[in-house]
Amino acid sequence: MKSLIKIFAIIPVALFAWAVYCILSAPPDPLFGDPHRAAVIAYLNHRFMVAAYTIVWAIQLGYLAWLGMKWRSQKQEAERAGGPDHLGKSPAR
Amino acid sequence: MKKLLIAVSILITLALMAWGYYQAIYVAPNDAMQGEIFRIFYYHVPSASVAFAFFAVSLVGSIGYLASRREHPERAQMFDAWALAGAEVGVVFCTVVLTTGPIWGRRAWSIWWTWDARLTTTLVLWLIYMSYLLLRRFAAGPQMQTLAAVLGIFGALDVPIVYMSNRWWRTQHPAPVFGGAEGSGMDPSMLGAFLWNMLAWFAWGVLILALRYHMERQQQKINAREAQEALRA
Repeated sequence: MKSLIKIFAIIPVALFAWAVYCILSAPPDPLFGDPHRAAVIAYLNHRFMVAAYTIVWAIQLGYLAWLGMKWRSQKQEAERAGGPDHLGKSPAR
Repeated sequence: MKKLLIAVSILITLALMAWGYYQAIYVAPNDAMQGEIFRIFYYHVPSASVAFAFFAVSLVGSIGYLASRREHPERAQMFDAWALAGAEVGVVFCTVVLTTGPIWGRRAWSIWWTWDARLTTTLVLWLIYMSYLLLRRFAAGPQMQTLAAVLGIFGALDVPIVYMSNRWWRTQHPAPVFGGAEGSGMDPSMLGAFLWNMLAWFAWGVLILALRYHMERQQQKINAREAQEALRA
């Protein structure tokens, strides 16, 4: 479970890095009169859209991973305290 | 039975997310003026709506806590957990809004940010709820929940200002698509994708909100038990 949460925590970092790469590696805006202007603008729009969608999932999955880590530490805390754990079951004494 | 219900909810939510994504990317046409970058709208606007709804949950929780903390302490703890869960998940969605917006703005306006009324009030809203979460994280003592509840109520006052900002003031932010001036609205070919994403993000948000609420209730029980043991010792 611990390694699953760790893997889950790596995904948002990778997604965030990909989104930043999409934006930073995009070519500059084309000048007026550039014969390929429309194609470059379409390409830039696509890259920024991919970055936006990726960043949304980086944030959402990052929060979910943080909740997973918090849940795990809370579960350990509950077991230490000797009371019912997250599933409402009493631990073996 | 409870586990089955949770599993079904998760499956439905994931199916909605996948369907919403498919609608936004493959079904909805490109915007005639903005091209492909307009598709950010399908994640940006539902995220803003979910954030507003969850700040409202936080408001109700905060009011409920203040109203019941003396007569019904157990109910007050439940309200407090809702207030915290609503604020925290709301901040996550508000962060999505504040990151996808500038990415769209960079392509549509050629700038990442401008201090117009809609953007500034949204940033202020995010800052208020961040301070709410920081207060809950770092303040200690019996007054912490009361202070947080008061801050939660004040924070929620900014939500209608954010919503109305591009109606009250002239802003760089686009005019409201829904409920705006005459001629506002969406093409039917795009409306389906928008509504599916709205449904999907609400389902996702409610799932996370419920999880966060459950965790906070567990934390309250652990804290209460530890306090009792400390008193006994």
